[in-house]
Amino acid sequence: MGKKKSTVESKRAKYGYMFVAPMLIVFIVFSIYPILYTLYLSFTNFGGFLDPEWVGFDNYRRVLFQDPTFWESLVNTIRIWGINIVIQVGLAFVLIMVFSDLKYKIKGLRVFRILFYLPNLIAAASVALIFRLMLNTDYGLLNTFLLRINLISDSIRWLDGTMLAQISVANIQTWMWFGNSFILFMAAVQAVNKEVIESSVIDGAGRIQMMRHVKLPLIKPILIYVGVTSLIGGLQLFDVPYLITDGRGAPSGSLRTVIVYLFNQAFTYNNFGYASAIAFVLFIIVMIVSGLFVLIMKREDVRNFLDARKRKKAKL
Amino acid sequence: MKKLFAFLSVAVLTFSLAACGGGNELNDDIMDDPDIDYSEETLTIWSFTDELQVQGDVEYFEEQYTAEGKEYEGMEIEYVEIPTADYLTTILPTLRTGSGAPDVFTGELDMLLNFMEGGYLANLEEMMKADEDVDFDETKDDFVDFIWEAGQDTQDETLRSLSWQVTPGGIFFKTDMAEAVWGSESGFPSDNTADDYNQQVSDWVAAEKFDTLQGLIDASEEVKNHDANWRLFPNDDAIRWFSQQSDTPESWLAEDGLINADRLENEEVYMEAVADLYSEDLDDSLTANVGEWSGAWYQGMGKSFDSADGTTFQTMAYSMPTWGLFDVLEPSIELVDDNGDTCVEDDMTDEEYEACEPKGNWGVASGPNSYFWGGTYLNIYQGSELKEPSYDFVKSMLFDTDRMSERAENGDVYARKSIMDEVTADYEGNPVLGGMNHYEFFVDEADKISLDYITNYDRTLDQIMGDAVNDYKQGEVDTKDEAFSDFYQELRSAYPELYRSEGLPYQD
Amino acid sequence: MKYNEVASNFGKMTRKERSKQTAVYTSIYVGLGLLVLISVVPFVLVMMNATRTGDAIVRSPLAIFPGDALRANWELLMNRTDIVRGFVNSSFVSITSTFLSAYFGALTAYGFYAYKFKGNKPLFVFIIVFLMVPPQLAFLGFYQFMANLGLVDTFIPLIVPMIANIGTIFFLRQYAEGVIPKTMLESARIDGAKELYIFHKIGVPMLMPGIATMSIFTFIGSWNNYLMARIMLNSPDKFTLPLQIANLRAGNLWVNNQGAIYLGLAITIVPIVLFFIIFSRYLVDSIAAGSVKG
Repeated sequence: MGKKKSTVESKRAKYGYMFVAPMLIVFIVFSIYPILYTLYLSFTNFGGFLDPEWVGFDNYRRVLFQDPTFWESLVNTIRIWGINIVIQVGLAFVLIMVFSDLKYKIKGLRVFRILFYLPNLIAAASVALIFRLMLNTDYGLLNTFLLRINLISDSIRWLDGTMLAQISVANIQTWMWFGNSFILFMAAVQAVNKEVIESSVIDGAGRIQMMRHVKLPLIKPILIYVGVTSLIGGLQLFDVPYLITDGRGAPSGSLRTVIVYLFNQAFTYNNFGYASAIAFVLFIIVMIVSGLFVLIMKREDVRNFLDARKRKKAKL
Repeated sequence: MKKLFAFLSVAVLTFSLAACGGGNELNDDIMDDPDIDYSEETLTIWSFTDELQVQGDVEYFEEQYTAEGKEYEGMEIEYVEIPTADYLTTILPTLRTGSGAPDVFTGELDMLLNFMEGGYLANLEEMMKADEDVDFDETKDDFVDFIWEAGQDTQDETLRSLSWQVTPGGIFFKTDMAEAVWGSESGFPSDNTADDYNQQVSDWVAAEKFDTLQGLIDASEEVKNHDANWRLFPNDDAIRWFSQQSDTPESWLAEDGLINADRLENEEVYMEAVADLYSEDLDDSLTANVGEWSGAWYQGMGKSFDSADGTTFQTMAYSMPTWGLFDVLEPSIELVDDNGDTCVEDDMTDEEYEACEPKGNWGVASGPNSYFWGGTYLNIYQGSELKEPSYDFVKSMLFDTDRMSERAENGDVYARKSIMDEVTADYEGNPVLGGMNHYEFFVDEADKISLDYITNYDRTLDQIMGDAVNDYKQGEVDTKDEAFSDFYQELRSAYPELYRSEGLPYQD
Repeated sequence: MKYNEVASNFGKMTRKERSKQTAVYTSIYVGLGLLVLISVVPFVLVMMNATRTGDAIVRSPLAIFPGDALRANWELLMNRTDIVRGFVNSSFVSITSTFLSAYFGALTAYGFYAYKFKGNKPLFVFIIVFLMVPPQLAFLGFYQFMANLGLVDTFIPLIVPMIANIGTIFFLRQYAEGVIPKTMLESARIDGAKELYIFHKIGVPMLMPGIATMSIFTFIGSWNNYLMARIMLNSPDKFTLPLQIANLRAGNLWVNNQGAIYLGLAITIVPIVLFFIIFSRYLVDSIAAGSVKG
């Protein structure tokens, strides 16, 4: 009986291949092959015009040891991401505290969620242009507004000052993404039985303790998820810094993210081979970040498993 | 099932085969396929400015060539403007792959070398020689030398690119403000009712105030001292054309092909000059701190503009080239009514406003050195399948002398001597400039310009140095040492092969 | 009844408590209101400025009222770039991408779920790896490869790779486990149904909510895609909306006719916002679902 079933199944296996095949072929042709091709180009001096010439590890040596600009661009990228994620998550925390409070019942969660999520829908290209108009030092809306209400006396160089430009772009990213984080965190909190929270109130837990001991553990997996997806996305930040400046990441290269740098190496300076090496280094960095993430999640699973066993044992 | 697999493997194979056989062959053919039906085709023109559209060149071509009964009847023209910041990064990959490439495209001087290196430019010389309407040698003699030379291929000296215009610049300034500030100085023209008063003032400031970079800084100070809300320049961009203080500027690259130390020495002086002019606090700044192309910058060409906090400022001078006069300045200047009062559009009827005249208070003077700004070259794509209409478009702009004379009224200064002679001779003076003949001025300036210093790297190196200068003036870096090491770092990231390991200013 | 309850609760509170409560509520709502303002004001400004002239915007940038220059702005914008064309291009790319991603995503996920075949597990793990390491980072190789194939300046590089949309496949594979009972597939087979038929008649309908969830994100992602489109598309008649928008940074329009630029921005924003508001109820849950499983 069992044998018969397995032959039927193995007979059916061909359908499995058949169903997966189109995707697999496309994946190999449009994803795997380009990755390998990029890897190949990274070992050449391809400049876009002449045939690629093999240069061994020269490009990698240059990225890793001789090009401070690459490392600066990486630091810029991480800094912009870092500022953004702290504000974004902080804001989302405050919001879930507000909306999950037991004493003060805040109404309109549904409407607020939608409104906070709106900025996430617009193309980053449009966002860049909107803020480029609004944050212009000389005639931007924000400076005009602040000057007219006498909050400032000189125009602020939102996008022209080194540090400020990074903060501005980080905040633009926050503007785009905090609604998303809020929705995710809120879903996690709501997924839990209300009684759990109510019982902890009876135990006398204050708001901050509740946040720390009840809500935070609930959203921890989501928090890690948000952190890592946003880091992977953040490392590839391009549209806003590219379009909000002159395309090279001025002022002083403070908005030059890794991808902006890579783009310019490839398309402005015609160093295609070198740009490919930068892409690959970034690739490896992302891989390490993702690997760490998987490890953390795994450890979490392991710990949960152990806890469960312990409890079981204790019961016995 | 098997068929599906067979199909898919064939597909993959085709893909990879096609991948190997890439690379498009370029042909030097100047004739189109004889069976081509032009009414089905679209001629695509790419540019980084809108001038061909605004100046009516596209429209003229349509009248002459694509209208009913004409040679390319029914052919569509598509004119595409691409932001300057994106232009090269868009057009170079496009020309390289050839997919979706334009038939005709414009470029500035320093872009041409990129186009030539890639072999993207059709042989204009051969096309001209095949055209019986055009006498090649005569045309060559008629063009300003440096414009013609810039269009010649660096490899074989064939002409592949050409511009109809020369675009030297000067310093445009308000003579009435100049009089208020410097009127009592010796030699300042005394009779402000003289017919050539603006010319006299222009000559005087050119010799006394605008003759050196330091002179411009001193003049800025004098203007501000005269009135706390007056400034010579709207911002320090106005002096960037004088960074080399010579009609024959140092090239970015030295003879040996590496970065030129002399150029950097000049840049250092310029960096200091910018820092002298600029202060973040408007009260201390010798310029009005309004960015080039901002609303206030334009308004300043009129009577005055209000700064963000509501103070009324007046700016005296703008560094601008030929096209700046008609494209930028003229639409923005102060207009006056019969009584000499300033016209304000919102306070008048349309009729009253239309009756207003330019105040005629502008002059134009030569700065510390002659310079050019912009200048649009026309190119035909080597891989275009519409070479004949492409050539005819270029022809309508470069070799159609009737059209050129007519178009000169718009204010462009032409690269063809015969046309400029005619225009200059007939010209009765520009009312904006109080009757001055700006053509004469610009033709003289153009004569002084040499283009030997242009390299492939100018745009990027200008930008990188511009960033360093900006950082220094705004205090983002504290010392010139830092500014220069930033420059060197950028240089080595972009073009490590150009870096020189010793002999450069502030080199560690 | 309910009102009475509240009223009696209210009545039990001391005056102090009551005023404290009011103060807390007020400050919370003011805070939320401020946040809403920050989220929404740029939209309002874009909409309003789309109807005002460039002059009016420069002169009184803060005025939040519509002007009468909508038509003029439209003409300026169309003169500059054929925004209708961009709209059509964007719609074409986004809809085909979404469809391919949905159909093949479901097909692949179903294949992984419903059949035991050699290499099923390792293949799936392989896919998960690329969920973490985005293949689009290799866009230079991708570009060069497409250039060699002569596919630059076509929509193919933007659309066809969506057949292998890893995120969708992963999500639907997990989703299938919860919604498609294998016994159901068995009984269909006993009835003599063909495998592809079973997928279409049972698999797809069962997976539908999941497909819809992922399609929303595929669509928005595709609609807003800039970098890939910027690299792949050359001719303006193929430009998608984000490319057209980015091109508005050029020259005179940027300086003098901001109204037209705002109108262009409005055109990219309005449809997607409308789409979202109409389906918002469904969408918000999708956002959470898409990630919790992801």
